[in-house]
Amino acid sequence: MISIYLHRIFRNKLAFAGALLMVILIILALTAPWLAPSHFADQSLIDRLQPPSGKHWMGTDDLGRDVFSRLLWGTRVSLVVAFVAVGIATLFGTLVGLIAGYFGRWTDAVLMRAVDILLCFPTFFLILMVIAFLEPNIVNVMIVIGVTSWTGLARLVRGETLSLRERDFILAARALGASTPRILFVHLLPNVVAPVVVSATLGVGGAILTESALSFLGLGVQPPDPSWGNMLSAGKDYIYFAWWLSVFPGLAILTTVMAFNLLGEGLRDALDPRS
Amino acid sequence: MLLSIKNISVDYFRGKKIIPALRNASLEIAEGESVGLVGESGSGKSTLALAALRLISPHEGNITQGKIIFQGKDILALPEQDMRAIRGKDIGIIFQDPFSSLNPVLRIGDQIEEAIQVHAENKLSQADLKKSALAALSNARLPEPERIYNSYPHQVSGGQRQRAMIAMAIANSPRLLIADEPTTALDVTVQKEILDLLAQLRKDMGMALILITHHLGIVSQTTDRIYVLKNGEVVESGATRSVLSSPAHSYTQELLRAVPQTAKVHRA
Amino acid sequence: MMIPLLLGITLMTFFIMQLAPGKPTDLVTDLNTRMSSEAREKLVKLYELDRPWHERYWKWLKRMSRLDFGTSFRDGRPVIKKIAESLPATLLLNILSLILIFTAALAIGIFSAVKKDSLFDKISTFFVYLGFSVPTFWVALLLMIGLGLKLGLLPISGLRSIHYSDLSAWRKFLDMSAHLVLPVFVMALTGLAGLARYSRSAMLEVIRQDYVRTARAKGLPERTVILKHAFRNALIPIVTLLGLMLPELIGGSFIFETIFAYPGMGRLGYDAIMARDYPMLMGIGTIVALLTLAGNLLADLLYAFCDPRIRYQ
Repeated sequence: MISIYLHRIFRNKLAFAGALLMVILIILALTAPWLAPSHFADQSLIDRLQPPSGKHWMGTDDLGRDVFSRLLWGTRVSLVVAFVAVGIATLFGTLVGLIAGYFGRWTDAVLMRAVDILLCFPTFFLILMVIAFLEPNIVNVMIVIGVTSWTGLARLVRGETLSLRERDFILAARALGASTPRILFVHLLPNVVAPVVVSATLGVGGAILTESALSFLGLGVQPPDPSWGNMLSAGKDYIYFAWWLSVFPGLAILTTVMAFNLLGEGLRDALDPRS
Repeated sequence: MLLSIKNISVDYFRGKKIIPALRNASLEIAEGESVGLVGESGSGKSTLALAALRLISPHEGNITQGKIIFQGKDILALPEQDMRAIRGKDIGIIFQDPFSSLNPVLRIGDQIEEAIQVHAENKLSQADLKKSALAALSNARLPEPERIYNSYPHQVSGGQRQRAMIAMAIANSPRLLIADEPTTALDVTVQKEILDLLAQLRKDMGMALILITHHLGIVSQTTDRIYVLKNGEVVESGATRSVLSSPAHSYTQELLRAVPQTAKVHRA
Repeated sequence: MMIPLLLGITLMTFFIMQLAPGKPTDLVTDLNTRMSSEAREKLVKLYELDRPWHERYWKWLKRMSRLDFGTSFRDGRPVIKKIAESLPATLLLNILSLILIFTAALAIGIFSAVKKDSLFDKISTFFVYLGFSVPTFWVALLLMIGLGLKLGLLPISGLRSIHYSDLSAWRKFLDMSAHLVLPVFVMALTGLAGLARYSRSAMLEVIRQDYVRTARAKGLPERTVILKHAFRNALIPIVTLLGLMLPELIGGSFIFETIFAYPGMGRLGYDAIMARDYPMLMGIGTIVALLTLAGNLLADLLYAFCDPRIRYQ
């Protein structure tokens, strides 16, 4: 079955492009310490605010640090934060969705109420509020993003579970005396995997945007750790005469999020049971 | 000859695939005649009707060959503007499911008036439009035309909806009415009423009728001639009574065998 | 249906408050270095952290029902007053953006659906994808610099110029409008993608319907078919989205107000976050949640209004 999906992914050009980009980004992130010309914290006050050149492909910032290197190191930050946050959200959301959908009635009602309450707060705003009460650092950012973005997935999984619950193979499993955890994870979960994967992939893009927005506001990754968001924040004070500080990190965010969005959309088309 | 369809072939597009819907199909109908078009679902009978009115969008499919002549005009060569003048005025059409075929957010009266106004020579006053719409609803034998006029489609029963659709289709006194499975979505008791209504309207207005259905029992009572379609091709045609009593093609025989005893041809 | 949600909001905000450092144990360990001991003492007194939690929650509930959020840490003024002063500006910004988003997204959506797979459709789909992937604050920054500074066309901060009070009424209006152009434009540009894509698919779904075929079969001109029949039906799900988008916009306007130094609730919130002005944050949080509820209610009302099947049961 997986081979059919893989085959479909390769046929869809956009998904393929997205997947390719994603692989490149992961490789960049993993090899950054060796690939980057300099360490992200290396300062050189003589070389402050240099435009792009042969020596510094993307110029230097206000502390003389090589922008290109910081960009590469930033890939690690963005990807790690996004993957962990989405991981948390997926785990939580899938669990809640399965339980709510399978047990129904009271459990479902209570869980969906909780979802509704969470949804009363616009997501980004909720994240801002919670971060304000906690210490802004990379770990908190990952946890907060994860804990606030599981609602969509929970609803999705719940819907799927509700419709699968009455199908013959589930009834058969119950008749054979299968335990509830077994039914949930061995029988229901594999059938819900497709939309979960799509949602998670698209979620990575969203998590990267959120993290960079937080870092931009000073509430995410703290300097000197390089995040594309906080690079843009530092660069905005020099934007008038050092355009490279405001262009490259933004492009990096754009490309990365686009890659995951393309992949996610492509996966959605590929895994769509209707085609 | 009112309408003459000769050797029509239609292809449908589904994604990248081309699916043939009609192959060399032909059909003729004279003024005031009643003709049946019979076949299973997927046989292409609805496609033939849509093709006659050029209601197949370029996205969905196209007519690859053939000729359609209506009142001496070459339908396939007509500019779109002239085609629109024919649709809803000289040729009316009603579809299978009146619930999905009527716009749910507009009142029924509004939808009928629209059909009248677009084909009127001058701008009609609201009062005149309402009068004509109510008249059309009465012609469709609706007992409370005013109430139906003011209602939304979901507020009336299935039978009333179909009558409203018929009212809309005949509002401009077309020479030809195409009824695509008009009774399939209705209760059995209502089916007969609708068929009777169609027969009555034919008589009163001298209208020709093409009745499309998969149910042989229906055509046996209401049509003069029938065409039998299988997989996009016309396999048999002729006077209804003779085709049904002594079918030449094996497929027609199969269809006859599938009909329950009580609905078979009456030799009256 | 509303009551449990309202209660839930109070619980939620209460819970978030408990996350704040300043609990008796934290006084000793001192994790949050940004807090002065003075602020911490204020917190303890304000939230009576030395009392059992159910007492605290009950007190919070009572105060919330009176919209009494206490006084701001920064300048001692009542929180609710500061919010009331800044809310109109935020609402103005967001409603204008919403109008712009709505009209632009609908136009794009309808056109893309009707001319499916055309060049326009392909280009707008591309830009929609782009819109989903671009960091909004980056676009705001670039446009601000490009149009505001480099070209000097439009003012880039605040809502009024310094000499505002000297202007005539007409010029006051022009001045405010000029200040609104950039923020509204940027907000609309970045918020367009979702609705454009949604209206395209809603429109495509409706065009397939039987009643559109009936409309054509009646001989109606294509424009009437698309606008009067198809669009009217596609509008129903789209319009409900409006009610839901307003709170999302308000949540997102935090960033925009900060970048453009716009004197709205978002800016107030950002300053409050930076200063760890907790009463202020609780107040803003509650107000935003209430606005979200109002937005959802509005969405339901609009839906019932537009769809006769709901209106006349």
